Amino acid sequence: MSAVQVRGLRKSYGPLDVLRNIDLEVREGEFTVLLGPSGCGKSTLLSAIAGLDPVNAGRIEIGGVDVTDLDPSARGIAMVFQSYALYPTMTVRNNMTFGLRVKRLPKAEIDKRLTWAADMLQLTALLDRKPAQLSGGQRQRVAIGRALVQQSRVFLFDEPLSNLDAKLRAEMRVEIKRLHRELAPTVVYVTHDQIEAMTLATRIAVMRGGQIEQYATPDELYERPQTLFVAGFVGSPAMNFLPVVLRRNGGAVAAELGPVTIPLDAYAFATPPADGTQAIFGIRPEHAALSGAGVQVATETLFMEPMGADTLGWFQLGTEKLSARLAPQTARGISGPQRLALDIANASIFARDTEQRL
Amino acid sequence: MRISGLAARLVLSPTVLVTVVCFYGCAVWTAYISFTKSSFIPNYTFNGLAQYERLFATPRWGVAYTNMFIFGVLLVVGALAVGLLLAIMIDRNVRGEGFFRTVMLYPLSMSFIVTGLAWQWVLSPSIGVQHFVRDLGFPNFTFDWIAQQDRAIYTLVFAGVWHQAGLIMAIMLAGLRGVDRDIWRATKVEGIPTWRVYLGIVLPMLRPLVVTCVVLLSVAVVKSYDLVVAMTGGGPGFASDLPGKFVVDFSFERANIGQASAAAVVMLGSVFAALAPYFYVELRKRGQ
Repeated sequence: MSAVQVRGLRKSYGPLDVLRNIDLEVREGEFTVLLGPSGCGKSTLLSAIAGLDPVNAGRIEIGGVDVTDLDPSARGIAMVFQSYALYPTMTVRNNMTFGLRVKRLPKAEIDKRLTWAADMLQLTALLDRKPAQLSGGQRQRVAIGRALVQQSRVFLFDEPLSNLDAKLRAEMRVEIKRLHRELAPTVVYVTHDQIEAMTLATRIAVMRGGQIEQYATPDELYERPQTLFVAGFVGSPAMNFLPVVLRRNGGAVAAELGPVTIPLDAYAFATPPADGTQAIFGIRPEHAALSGAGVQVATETLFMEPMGADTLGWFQLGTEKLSARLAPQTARGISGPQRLALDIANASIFARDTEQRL
Repeated sequence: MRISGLAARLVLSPTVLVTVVCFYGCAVWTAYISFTKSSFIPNYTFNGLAQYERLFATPRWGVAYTNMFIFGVLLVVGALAVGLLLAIMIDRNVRGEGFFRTVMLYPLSMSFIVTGLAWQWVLSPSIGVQHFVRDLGFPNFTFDWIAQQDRAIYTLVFAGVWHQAGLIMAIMLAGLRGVDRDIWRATKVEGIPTWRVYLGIVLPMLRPLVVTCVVLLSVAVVKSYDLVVAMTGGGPGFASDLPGKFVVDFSFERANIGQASAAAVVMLGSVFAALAPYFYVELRKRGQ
């Protein structure tokens, strides 16, 4: 059963198409992250699901009910905003219960939900404070608490952590993950932070220019990106891209990078490419090593970038630069010509014109 | 550093001098005069509370003093309510916002004299609204508050609210525009009706602005002299008199500086007494 189903959604502001024919299915209890750079339409998509912004075409179902024309409050959703959107003159307690009191829920029920949510989020000691007296992380917890007490089937998060500093963000990430494990709600979560997306999501929808480029599990997204954009956007340090020409020799395919030839026998092509195809050869830094199995290529050492746990080594391969993730001990004292072993099975190859995976 | 400090003092000193001599000095002098035998010219013979006893025995003062409270409370409440409603209307994204904003702010660009004259004509039974509606074919229509002893003061409130509401609207609109858009979106998701959002969330957020508006309106109330003069002349009789007019009349027309001073001191004391508790509560709250 799908908790949220979006079909053929379109939205434009005048001549500018913000969402182009979006299809998205979120299953019950799933944690879907909408990931993309600024202006890709991810927040607009979330607003459309919430019913806060009208759409031009398409259909939205929540819990099997067509909600395309329903008010936000009738959709059975709760939402957490980037700016927290707490009511500044109310105490934490009133912030969390105002909506319930407006709906005239019995007092006992309101108290029960408040106690439960405050307990869940360690807010019990803060209930009588005003938002101005809370830290950023506490405010975000109150905003989440206000969403929890509504006991909705679907939670929408609009970049909830981007106003927090790095340390708090990591803490809140863990907190949100724990909440999802304990309560198993359906979540649609917008972020531009790929680490947040990778750590939280059960599935990630990577968006660009109002379209979903790929919708898959974090592992799938990382290991088998379907488009050049996804490959470049996900993963840090970023994937290496080398412009190559594919050469077929009988059954065997090889990539030609100027004078360097990389045999691609280990790569699983979806369909065998034609001879002479212009392509992009993508390989993540951790799939290039100084030793071991894989295709050996001759390179020249350029420089090292120590990153703490790893060192990113940069090497000249033909006319291109190539980075490899190295153990810091190995990286020390490396210079001159080096042979790198490329793990072709874990590489990604894209057509240069369509930018689709081959 | 020393030179710039000196320069600052030099530049500020005329202002300080004017404030100390003209405002505080004159206030103290007026208070002093009110305890003397002064009548036509200042007379420094101390005379206790005699001026005050005589003042409160004057029927005209009683009317003027009561009127200040009627006029004050109604003007502050009325202008706040109308201004706020206008601001909310504009904030709800009506078409032609710029046009309405200008139209509503326009009265403020007119002096109280012009406002008073215009309203005098509008409310005058023989040429204004009453005359107009009668000519439309309702010969029994009557609206002559401005000519009635017990209603005239309310016509001053009309004109005052009309004049001040635009300013309140402008201030409140700025406040409404400052409310985070996400707060509105959050209330929509929670299904809170718009009027509850205004009453429960937005207005409490605008509280500091309400204080500002109350101060501005109170000042308008206390200094309202020109409006009365232009609109009703304090009449009929002295039914719509206000302390400001009373003081000016007694100082210059009746040439009784002792009575005028006593009235001015009572006015000052009343304003303090009325506003002090309000500011005490508001400012203490903000201090917290």
